[in-house]
Amino acid sequence: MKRFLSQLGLFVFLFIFIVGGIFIFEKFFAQAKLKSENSIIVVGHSHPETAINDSLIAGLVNFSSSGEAYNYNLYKTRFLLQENPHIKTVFIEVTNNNIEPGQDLWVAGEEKMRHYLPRRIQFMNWGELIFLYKANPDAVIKTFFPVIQQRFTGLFKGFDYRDDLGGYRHLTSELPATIQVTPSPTDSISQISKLNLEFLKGLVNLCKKRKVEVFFIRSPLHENYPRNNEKTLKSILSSRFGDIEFLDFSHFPLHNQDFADLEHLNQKGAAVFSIWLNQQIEEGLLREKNKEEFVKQKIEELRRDDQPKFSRTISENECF
Amino acid sequence: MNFISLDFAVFLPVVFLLYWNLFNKNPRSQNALLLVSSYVFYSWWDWRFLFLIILSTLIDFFVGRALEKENRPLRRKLLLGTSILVNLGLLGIFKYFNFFLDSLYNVVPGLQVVLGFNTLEWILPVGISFYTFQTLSYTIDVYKGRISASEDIISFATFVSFFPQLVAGPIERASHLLPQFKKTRNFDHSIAVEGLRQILWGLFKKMVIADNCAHFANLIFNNSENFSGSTVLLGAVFFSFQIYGDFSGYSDIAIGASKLFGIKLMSNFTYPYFSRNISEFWRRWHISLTTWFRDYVYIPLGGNRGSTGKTVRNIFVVFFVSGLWHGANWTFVFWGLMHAGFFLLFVLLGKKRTKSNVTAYNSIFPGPKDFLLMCFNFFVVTIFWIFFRAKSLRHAYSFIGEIFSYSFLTVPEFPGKKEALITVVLVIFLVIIEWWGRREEFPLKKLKMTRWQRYSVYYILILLIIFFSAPGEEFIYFQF
Repeated sequence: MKRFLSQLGLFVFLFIFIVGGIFIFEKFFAQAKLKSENSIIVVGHSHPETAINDSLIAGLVNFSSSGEAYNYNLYKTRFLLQENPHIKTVFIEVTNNNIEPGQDLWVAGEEKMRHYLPRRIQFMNWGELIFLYKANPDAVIKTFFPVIQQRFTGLFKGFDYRDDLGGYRHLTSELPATIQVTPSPTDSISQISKLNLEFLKGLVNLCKKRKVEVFFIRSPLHENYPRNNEKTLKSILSSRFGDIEFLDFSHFPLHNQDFADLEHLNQKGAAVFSIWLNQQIEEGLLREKNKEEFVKQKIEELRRDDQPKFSRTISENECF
Repeated sequence: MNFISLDFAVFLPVVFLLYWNLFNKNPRSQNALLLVSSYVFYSWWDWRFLFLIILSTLIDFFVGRALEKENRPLRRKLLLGTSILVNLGLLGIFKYFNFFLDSLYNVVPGLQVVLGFNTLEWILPVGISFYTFQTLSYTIDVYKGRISASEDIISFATFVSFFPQLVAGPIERASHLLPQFKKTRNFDHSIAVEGLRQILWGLFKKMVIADNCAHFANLIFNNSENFSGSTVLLGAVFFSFQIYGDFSGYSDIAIGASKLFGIKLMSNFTYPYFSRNISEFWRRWHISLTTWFRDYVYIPLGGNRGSTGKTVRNIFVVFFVSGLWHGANWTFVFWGLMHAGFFLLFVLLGKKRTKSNVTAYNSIFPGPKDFLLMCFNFFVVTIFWIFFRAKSLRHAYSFIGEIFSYSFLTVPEFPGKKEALITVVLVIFLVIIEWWGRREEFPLKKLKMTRWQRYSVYYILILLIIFFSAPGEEFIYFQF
């Protein structure tokens, strides 16, 4: 019996040693180096992921990823800032669905955890892992195999995470041209997410600690996108994040055909918006004293004109 | 409690350590621990299931004791009848009542209105088909004088509810299992190591082979009308390996876990897909059930000792009942009857017992004749599995019709074809390993290697499980 237990113990210990070794190896060798001219990063979920084509914006890299909650954004951003001290600005997407109660499932629900925990665990500390375990122990246990799988995959592929942390994704579908605009009421929902907003606070504090400028952005949305919690959103921004400027691009004028659906731009819309955003950044958006007002005015000007002042003839190359 | 769960991963080592360190003084204490553990294991699904298994245990224990003392034939028959009534009654009510009622209402329209009641809504207790047959075999063997009745209720209850084989077999015989609970088990290092290896092999078959094949089998079976004949046939092949990996994997985990406690269970699968004919297949597939039906249905009916007509009748009865045992659906019955028809061919041609040795025992590769026979037998069994898996007879017919259409000659096309290729490679890996290990109870039984070579084999299997295990499907045989 002793011999059996000692041999079994040796076998298990060796396995833990090998897997643990890979974890430690990964911690040392993980990297995601950006070019020195890329000093702006964007983090968020699928809205900025599909709206911001970073190949059309100088000095900006989009690290948004579908379905990613603020906790995973936090772990990822912390790693990026550590690897790239030349990052000066972080844009964080904050839109209506980020504050919904359902976002707590994005933070600690099994579905998102199965996808994101294996891909972000290398950037987490023990406290953060224990937090997720306490929030949903079953889900964490179920991700045990995918976590180990991802470590071994990293061993073969290398630990350069530059392309694995998110990025622009183009969509090709279009809304029908004939949709009528019917905006929703703005004050009918007041419940909010607890966890996601806590992590947003954490993300902001991280940027402040690293002395990096942080702005909230809201990517373009179709006028029919439900904004039932708009007043709640504005109230949270002013009460909890009053010192963070909110660059609201949600009313950026686009045709129906520039949207893949009510909340995501397709490649045409992304190109239009990204070229315009690039122009604003080059013309000094980030040097303006009151950036929020500046963006509001610029968008109002665009909406007043029958035709936008920038070219809408987008080449095929700009669409991808 | 599912074998593939963290709960079981904690439960098994805890029971193992308690068993060999605190409860190893005598058989009674060992059995007491196993009994309590088995009831905990079973009630993990639903605590209400315990009432049924305890009822079945008590009735059969006291029937057995009474049979031991009773000499009058009529009284003995009544006692046996009581056990049969209770066990088959429980099975009939929970498993078949709704099926027979629905079938009756379909045959006699308007009867539902006359009778005025609908089907019952209750859960099928997990493992009921297995433990009722196990306890029934006990009372029949006591009745026939093959074994003595158990005097110790603890060891008997442990025999009925022993957790590794409780919910999906193997269906053990009292003459084989009960004596093991009557003596003290001493720890045997080599048996325990063998048990762990068998558990690992079972986990590989279930989590890698069965669950990956299940994904594609389900995709193709659920949308068969949209796929070509070649794709549909591939779906059937995936199901063949799904059910084999699932059931034989479970059996390996059950037998391996038993070895950890010094208990030897019977083999339930001996490489059935290497069979050269249908008769050999049924000596290698779900052996505990087929031998149960042979000993308690086929032989009492006369077996093959009477006229040809009686032999034919007996074979059809056995396969009919076997099909029905698998589930309350006409597809299972039809599946059984198709096997009966094919089996009869061999009986009537006098070829029933020609293939009883391991295929190509003394060679590395099978001869051309054996190879063709194995392929043909596998093809036939796969076609029959379609009835087992299909939602209805009509679905099975249209599925088979699609296979034997002109589109059979096209290249399979379906979503996830690249991932399916990985599954095919894994299945080929399984077949190669099982062919290499076909002379043993399971392929990893005798690894004549150094310790570090053996550890490498184990780590490779563990990594394969980690990398390729698919989202868990429930064990197919839990539904029986």
